[in-house]
Amino acid sequence: MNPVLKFRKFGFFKMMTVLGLMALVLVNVFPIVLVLRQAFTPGSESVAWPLRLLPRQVTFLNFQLLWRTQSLLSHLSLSFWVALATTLLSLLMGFPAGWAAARSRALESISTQSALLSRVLPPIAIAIPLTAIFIPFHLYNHPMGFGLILAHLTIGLPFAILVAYAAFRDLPRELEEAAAVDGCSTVGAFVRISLPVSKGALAAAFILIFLLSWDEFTYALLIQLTHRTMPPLIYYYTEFGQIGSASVLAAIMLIPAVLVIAFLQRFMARGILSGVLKE
Amino acid sequence: MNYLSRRKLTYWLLALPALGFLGLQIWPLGYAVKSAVTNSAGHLTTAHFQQVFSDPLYWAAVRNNFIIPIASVAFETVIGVGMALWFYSIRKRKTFWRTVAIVPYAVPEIVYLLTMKLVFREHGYLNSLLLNLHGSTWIVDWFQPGRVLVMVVIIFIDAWRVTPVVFLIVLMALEQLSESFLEAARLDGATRWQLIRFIQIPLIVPALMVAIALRAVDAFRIFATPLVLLGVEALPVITSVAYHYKAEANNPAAANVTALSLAVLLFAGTLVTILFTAKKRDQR
Repeated sequence: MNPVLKFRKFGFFKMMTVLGLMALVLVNVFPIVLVLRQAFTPGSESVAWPLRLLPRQVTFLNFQLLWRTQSLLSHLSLSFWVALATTLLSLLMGFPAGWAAARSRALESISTQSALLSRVLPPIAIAIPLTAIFIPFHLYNHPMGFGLILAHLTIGLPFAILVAYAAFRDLPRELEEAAAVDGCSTVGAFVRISLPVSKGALAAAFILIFLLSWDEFTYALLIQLTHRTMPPLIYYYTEFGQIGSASVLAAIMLIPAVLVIAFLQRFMARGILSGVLKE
Repeated sequence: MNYLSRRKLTYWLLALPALGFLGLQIWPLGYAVKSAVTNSAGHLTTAHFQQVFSDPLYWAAVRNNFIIPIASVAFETVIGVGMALWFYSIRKRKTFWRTVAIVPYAVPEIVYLLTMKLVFREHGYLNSLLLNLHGSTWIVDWFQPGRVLVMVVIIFIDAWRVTPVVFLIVLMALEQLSESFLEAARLDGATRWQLIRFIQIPLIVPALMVAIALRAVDAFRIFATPLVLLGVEALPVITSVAYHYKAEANNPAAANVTALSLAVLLFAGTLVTILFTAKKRDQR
């Protein structure tokens, strides 16, 4: 039995635990319920005073309005496309680099250090000059977000390298050596042996990089002027006091976040991310 | 070419695209430096620096950019460690409760900030609740600029979102400890407090240091929280002032000076931290 638990014979501790957990639910989950409530109630109720907990009226008006006036679908698909492209490119470049870093002493320090250095750099210091650099290449405010994808790679790629490096470093080299003895090339050993064994790390990196790009605010705000992704769009609606519309967008943005809540725990439990966090 | 050097070459070829791309970041950085030190005619000038450094908004931002991150990281550390110690002893439905605990970190940042705006704005949910509880005497303007209260609220909002990071790292470290340590101390008659103070805390310190370093880097780059909740002028930070110069004042050179000053600050901080920890490791 857990030795800490032995102290829990008093009812007092039990009661404090229950109260604490209730407070946690209140602080963490309740505000999200309020946003959902705001999304499904008419605008008059978002500005009413005092605000009521339970809505008087339930409506899909906010959704319909956004659909018609703001071409919601184009913003949503842009966000999705940028996140997907960022993720795939990060994994495509980052996983081979992470594997090479785990196998070569010289690359180990170069790769991990440049990944960490990129993580320290503030996005705003890159984003401001990028807007000027992108203009002659037609990458600023690109309708398909090509410029934004390049910017998001500076976040996704270091992450992919570190996840892959941590996963492959813990993998026994004997597997690859056995493959080499049987006539497999170096790249073949990576693609056929090491990569399939590290499927878990690949899946974790996929989901987390997707969400990094999906949630990203600074680059998206500065690089996309009219072809906006979801986070800056929510910001503009909030700025102009259209809480109902902002809440609808927020409700839509939450859908992939549910995934992370479900998966993050499992990745943490399996120690896939512990290697990254320890770097 | 022999087998070994061919293998080395393969490693380098595989790493090249990623390293090359990361190296490309020199380009915008160099562009920013050039824009900061030259005028429109291309001559060297310190005018942009003088302009930024004589702007009271910038110095207010620098001040806030120290107060908010330091207070925020302190809050995350204390609350994160406290929650980890607490959750370590919760065994019933632990996955469910841990999921509840990491919700603020799992929702997108902008959605989290929107919820906080709905709760804390003047005609928001918190004030509605206070009105119903105690009438209008308890209503507070949480976001009123220039007061200590707004700073406290922003620090709380900023810190609460990322407390789960510290919480999870420390909780993982706690669970990796062998329970026999605790068992042995228990047999020797240690109290609950002594277990925490002399067994659990010392053993989680390495993991905690990593968590703090990670968090500090992000905390000093704070951008969206004050911008979305208050705007630039009400509570400036370095990043939001840079954004203001770029997007509102249309002065990219001043924006670059401001953003670069944060980058220099962060690099200097990282360097000092690395040197300091390396020195400590050598001494051991």
